[in-house]
Amino acid sequence: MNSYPILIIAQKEVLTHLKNYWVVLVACLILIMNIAITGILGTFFSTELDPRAILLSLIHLHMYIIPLVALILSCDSILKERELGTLELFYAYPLQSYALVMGKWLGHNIILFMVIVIGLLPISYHLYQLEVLLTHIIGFILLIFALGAVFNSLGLLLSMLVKERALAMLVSIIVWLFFVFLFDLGFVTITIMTDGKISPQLLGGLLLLDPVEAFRISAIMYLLPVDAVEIFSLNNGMLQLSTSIVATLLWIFAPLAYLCYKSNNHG
Amino acid sequence: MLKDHSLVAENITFGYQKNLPIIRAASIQFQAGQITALIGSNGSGKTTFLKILSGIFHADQGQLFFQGKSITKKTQYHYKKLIGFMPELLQLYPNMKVQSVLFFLAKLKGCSKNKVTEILDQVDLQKHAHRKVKALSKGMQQRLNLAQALINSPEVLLLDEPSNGLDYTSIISFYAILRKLAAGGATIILSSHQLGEVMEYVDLIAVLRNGHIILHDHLSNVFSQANSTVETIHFYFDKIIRPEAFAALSRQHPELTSVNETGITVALEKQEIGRFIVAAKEQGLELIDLKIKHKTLTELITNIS
Repeated sequence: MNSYPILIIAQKEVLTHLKNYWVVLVACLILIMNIAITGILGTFFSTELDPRAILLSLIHLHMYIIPLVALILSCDSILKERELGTLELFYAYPLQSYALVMGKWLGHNIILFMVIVIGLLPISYHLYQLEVLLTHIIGFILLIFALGAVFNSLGLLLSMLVKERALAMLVSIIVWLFFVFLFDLGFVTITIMTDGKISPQLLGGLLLLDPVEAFRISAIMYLLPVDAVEIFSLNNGMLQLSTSIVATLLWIFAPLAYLCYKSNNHG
Repeated sequence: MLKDHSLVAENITFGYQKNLPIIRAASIQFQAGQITALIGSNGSGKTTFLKILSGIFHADQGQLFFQGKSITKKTQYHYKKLIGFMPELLQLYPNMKVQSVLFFLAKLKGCSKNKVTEILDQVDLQKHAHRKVKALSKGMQQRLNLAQALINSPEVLLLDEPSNGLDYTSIISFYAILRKLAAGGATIILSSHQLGEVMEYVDLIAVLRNGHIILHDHLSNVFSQANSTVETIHFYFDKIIRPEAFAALSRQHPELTSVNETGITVALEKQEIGRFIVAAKEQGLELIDLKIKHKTLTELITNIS
């Protein structure tokens, strides 16, 4: 694979989003939400907070906000190129057919990584002071980033398949609502209706069909292994840290593979 | 048959849907150093054919050759390094600066930054290098679009309706650039529906109809064909034409189209003129003058396509 054009396209994406303050704005937004939800400011006036509570709050905040940020970033990305005529133009350039898709995917992931790191920096410092292991903090940032990468892949897929920008936005919101709220509701409904008739193994497998749930499971199991077993009844059957990470990776690379295939068959 | 530096299409067939070809068994050879215009009515397949020539689409049947070598999906990478393509609908990143856009595209084509300065000079945009693309006029944006196609010094330049939306001055400077490139040995192929403009600036025309190439010739040959094709002849006579004389003449020459007091207009071939004059004399009409109207190139091409 000639990766140089992919890097050039990724660089352009990053520079464009830096120049139009997208990175700064979203990073500030995440930063403010992190500070607000974890109540760090409260520690100036009262006793220290429990790091477990902070981590749980952060997991739940990011499972809502990061998918939305990633979808907004990428849902009209290829669509814009099509509207400008540059998508077609690049097909006449000496590039691999998947260079544009891969370049955008890489660029958006770099942007997401920057946004996540900037947004989590003060809180990470605070967690470190509360004696949370550095490896746990870095692992948590990487898990959030992986969640962003999943929705970046899904957003790019949308921008390739949908022909209008308004429709792409609408479908993105539906995708976000589905994975963040509706899947959960559906899962609870199934569990109640079947009244324990479905094996926990199968239920665990079903849960991994939602990348947001896969993130939540892996984050809880990685950061709070004791709570994972005692409170959340995780770490049994299919619900292992390894399976949830594999599920997340599949969610990242399956849409990307389809996008590359689709780019190769554009004619 | 395959000359160096020429692009050859052999029996190209292509359709967006199966069993519905847009291009049908099109064969044509483009020569280096010449500007060829693809002409045809809307939907005749000009844009599709250009996209096949640029490697965007792959022919369902037939083959493309460049410099004697077949262009396939596997070999097109090298071919694409040698071509420049300008789509009809292209708006290069409006929020970026002219120079930044060209830097980005040059890097993608594997060209150096120095080439950008040279190209900006060539398309006369050097003064606007630091302006945003959206701040440029339509003519300037078209020149920027041309610049991206020229950035790799292409041997084949493919332009889809390049003069759309340009005023007359911009068209002149646009074709001056193309002429210079052709003089340097580039093969230039453009699609256009502006016949007047084509007649003025191109060397060859290829007429497409329903996906077939029905004419491919030097413009000078097409011009002489037009000059040898008479559309109508108007005969002026010495006296008023009586109805019975007109009736007699129209019996002999059904192609007689109109009449006024002293003249008759007839759609005749040149060799028929003598016979018509004799027939008029038999009706007592003495010829004073005649005016031959040849078919214009536009009429000729329109009739063909």
